Amino acid sequence: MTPQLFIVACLLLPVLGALGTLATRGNPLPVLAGAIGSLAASLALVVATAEGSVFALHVGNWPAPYGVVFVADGFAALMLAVCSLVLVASVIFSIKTLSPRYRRRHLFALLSTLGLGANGAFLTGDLFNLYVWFEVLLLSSFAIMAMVPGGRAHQATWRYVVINLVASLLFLVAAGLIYGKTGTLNFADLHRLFRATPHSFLIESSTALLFGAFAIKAALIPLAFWLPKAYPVLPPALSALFAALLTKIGLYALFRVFGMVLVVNGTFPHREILFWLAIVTMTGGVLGAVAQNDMRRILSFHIISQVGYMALALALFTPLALAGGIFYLVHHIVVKGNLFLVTGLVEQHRGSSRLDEISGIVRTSPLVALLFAVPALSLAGLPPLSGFFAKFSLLMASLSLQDGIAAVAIALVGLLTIYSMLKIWAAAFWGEPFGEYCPTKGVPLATSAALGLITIVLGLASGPVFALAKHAAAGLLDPQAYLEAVLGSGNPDIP
Amino acid sequence: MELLVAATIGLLVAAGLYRLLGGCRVDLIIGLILLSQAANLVILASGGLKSNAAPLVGRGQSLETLADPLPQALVLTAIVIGFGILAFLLTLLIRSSK
Repeated sequence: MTPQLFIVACLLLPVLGALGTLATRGNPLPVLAGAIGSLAASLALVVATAEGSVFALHVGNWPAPYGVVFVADGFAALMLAVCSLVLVASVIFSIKTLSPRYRRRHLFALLSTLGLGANGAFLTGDLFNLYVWFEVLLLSSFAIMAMVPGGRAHQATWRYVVINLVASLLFLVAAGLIYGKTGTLNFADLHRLFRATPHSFLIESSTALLFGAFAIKAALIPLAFWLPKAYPVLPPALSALFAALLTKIGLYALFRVFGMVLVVNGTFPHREILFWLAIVTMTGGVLGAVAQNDMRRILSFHIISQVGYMALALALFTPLALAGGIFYLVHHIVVKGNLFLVTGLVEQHRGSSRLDEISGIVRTSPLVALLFAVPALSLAGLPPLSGFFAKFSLLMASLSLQDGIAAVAIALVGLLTIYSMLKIWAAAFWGEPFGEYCPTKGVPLATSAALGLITIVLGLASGPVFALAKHAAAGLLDPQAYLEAVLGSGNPDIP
Repeated sequence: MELLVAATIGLLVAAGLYRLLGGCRVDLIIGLILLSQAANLVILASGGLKSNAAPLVGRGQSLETLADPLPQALVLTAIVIGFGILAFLLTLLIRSSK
């Protein structure tokens, strides 16, 4: 099996899964099978790219930069694997916890196309196709948001739809302008051009539009306020997927386009702005979380804060910081998805996730409390869980740059994260239990436990995973292998 | 020709933004349509505007009289996506006004 086949599998299996579900009137099993299949294919890609090799699939054998090209490098493969993992968990959780109403409205087919959009966005090798995959992803997420009943949910859906469409239009205009200035949209070709002509400051106006579009999708403050309005209205099984995937794909685009394609002489456009936005996002997000009183809302604000950490890793732009940022992405996707799943367990157990309506879960269901504690402590960054290594590498990177502001922000926001997690813990898990409660089901518990176990493994085996992240970061900083895979090694144009 | 297209794009963006900030949901949809038309025109103009040039190479024809085919393909894709989104928005409008 050549690795190119795995790329095809990652794109084809979700489509087949969605079609199978539509053909069997909403039976979720084809989608689950497709998701598990694309998880297996992406794990195979992780293994294949672990040593820094890059595989390109030239669709229809058209030579790049003229044809459509899909590229799997270490970074893309890692992101594919964790996102497919969360998709599988979310599908299982949805099967067991959501009402049949969602199934009637083809939720599972849409989950599959959401995963397809994500896979495509990770694998694509050109700017316009990135836009198209974003649209695949967004339309699925719009339709899923629109399924949620209630007036408040409709309000949130409109907000979410309009802000994301505006971001897409910015992206589209930026792609058009960049094509007008450079004559190509292929990532490898664009990078080659920028490297050859380092003084192309004219490109910065177009990349500013691109930066705005990605910042909205990644939810950087001041462009993040759609997120805490939209995510809490979703049922936890779905918000786990949204929280894990959507903003992270914006971040992936930032890493890929700004951290690789637009890099000239060791820096990229708008890096200073990204640095300050990241600091503001980290602190603003966590302060918002501290002020909230509902698990769903606290966790939503935490997404913003954590996005800030990852954007900071990109803005620092050293090999260690980038590797830390990629490790952070992997850790965050698993942990954040799991925290929302645990919120789902708490709601199943107690019928609410508002901190003033629940108490004493440690007494009534110690297992749920344990399942919450593992990802919560990991998110807060306590050793030996994965979050510690993610935060620690960022702290080391900022200290080695002697960047005091970044280091202080990393430590301080970490403390506030612990505080807000303790707030949930003290209100919901400690204290005397009151009110009614019902036992939680086995399969959702097992799903969340599996993700918790992966968090622990990511922490204990952080060495090998961090080595993968290092290779991925090295591939971004020195994309020679990427260029050769896409444009062909015999190409005389590669400097 | 370039001036006319540039002015049209500016007008569409201005009108689209004005509608987008109008406050009611029909306004939002009209604003987004106008903005997406502006985006389509930007892409079309990005390949350079030529009159009487088809994006096809004939035998013995020089490349100078050839229109760039890629922006046209991109714009087609963008129009199709825009249309799909418009259909979704209208459905959403009908459903949330029930």
